[in-house]
Amino acid sequence: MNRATHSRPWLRFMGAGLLLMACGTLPPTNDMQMYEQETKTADHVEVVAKRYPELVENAKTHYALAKEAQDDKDEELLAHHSKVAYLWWSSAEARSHADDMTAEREEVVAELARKEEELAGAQKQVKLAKSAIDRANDVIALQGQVADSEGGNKAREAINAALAALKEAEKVDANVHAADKFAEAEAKLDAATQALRDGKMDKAATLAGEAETAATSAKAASASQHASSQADQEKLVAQQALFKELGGISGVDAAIVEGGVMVTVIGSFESTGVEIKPDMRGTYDAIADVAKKHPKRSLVIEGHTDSKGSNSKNLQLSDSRAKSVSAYLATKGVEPGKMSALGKGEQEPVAPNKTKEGRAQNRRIEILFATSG
Amino acid sequence: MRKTRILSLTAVVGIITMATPLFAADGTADSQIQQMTVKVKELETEDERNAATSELGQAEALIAKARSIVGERSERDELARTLEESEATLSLAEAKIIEADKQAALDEQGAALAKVEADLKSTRLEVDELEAEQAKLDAKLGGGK
Repeated sequence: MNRATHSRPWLRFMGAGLLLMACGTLPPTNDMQMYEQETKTADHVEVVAKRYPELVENAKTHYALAKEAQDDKDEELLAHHSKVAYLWWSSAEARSHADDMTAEREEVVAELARKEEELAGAQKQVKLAKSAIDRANDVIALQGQVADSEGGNKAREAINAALAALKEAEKVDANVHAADKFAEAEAKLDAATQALRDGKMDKAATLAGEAETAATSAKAASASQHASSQADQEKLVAQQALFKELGGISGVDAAIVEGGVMVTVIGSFESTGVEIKPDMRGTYDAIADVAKKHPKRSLVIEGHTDSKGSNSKNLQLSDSRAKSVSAYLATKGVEPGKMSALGKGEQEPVAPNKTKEGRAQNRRIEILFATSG
Repeated sequence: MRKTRILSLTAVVGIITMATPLFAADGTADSQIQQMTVKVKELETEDERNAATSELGQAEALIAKARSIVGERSERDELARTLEESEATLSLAEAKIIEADKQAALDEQGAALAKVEADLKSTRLEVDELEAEQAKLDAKLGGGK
């Protein structure tokens, strides 16, 4: 072999290398383009990544491998990793969209409850108005038949006063809260109109006076219960407003529960850490802001883990994390005396611990904004 | 002679390093295929809205392909890629089923809300009409006979 023969393969290799360099990299695949397009908005990616960190991490890993394959001009690997990256991203994105819909549904459910309440109120108004109209029509028809006289006028005035008293009583739901007294007032009024019809003016006036007294008494008996149900209604409205406020915070799921409004935050900590991750502090800052706007509400902070590791260690870890959140919120101005923190360990999973995604859902912090009073 | 010995040693080490993960990978691959087969069946049952028919079909095809090459040493890389793709496809199938369920639940509540809103609108109109009628009657009553 001479020197020239030895050098030929090297030259050939160099030539091929130069040719490759001249060609640049492989064009992106459709999957790669779709992945890049859908992950262009950083805020959106951040939300999805907070909810499904492992799936997004898988997508990122395969995307990086696809880029490598693209640079290496390995068409087969480029196609494979692009496809898998886009599959993982689509899975995370669809789940996150499902979470958004869950939150939206909860809002719709709350709105539905409010509208149903309004509808019930409006239907009650219709019923009351109809009965008041019937009564008034009866009285008007009857009064037209009664000749002018001192006794007749007195009876008419007494009946009008009883009608007005009944209307006032109805406004505070006396027909519900003081049903017996209200029924008595109605019966007396019916009897008064009958007496008027029979030409017994004095009796009509007396009965109408009794009807007015019964209606006034029904109104008084109903007032406190009416006020209390009004207060309940106001509480419900306040609860819905708080739910809306908390639901608007990026990275949390809010729900109206018995005892207040609950927010769930996942992905707050590194795998074994107890310090809130820097990228999650913004979420807790926003929670602290809402808490400060509602100083009457106490905060019950619970830490939860997945089932990996021993029960006692998980309990300890979840407790430390709950306390870490409490301490962080305190540094942001939430009154420490208004907060309690405890760990629940792995005891209350919200998803199966068999899958990565389920475990990620179970590793969470729950904060109950407890109803005051 | 020395060079030949080194080459032989390298070849042996190479075979060992190639063979060891292959046997381990086959064992893992078998159980992975098994788990994914079960998962496909579960998801097919859960997919009441046919939201993931296409993904489940693809996953089944990928699993069948993985099963057909699981014992082939020469197809080791292909097997790994097929399993990766199957896993991601199944994850997407599950996500689509969840998404469709949530969408249906949201739509159901949305329809209920729309109905109540329509009822409320008509009831409020009725209240307005009745209140106007009541006001007229009150005026008549207030004016006496």
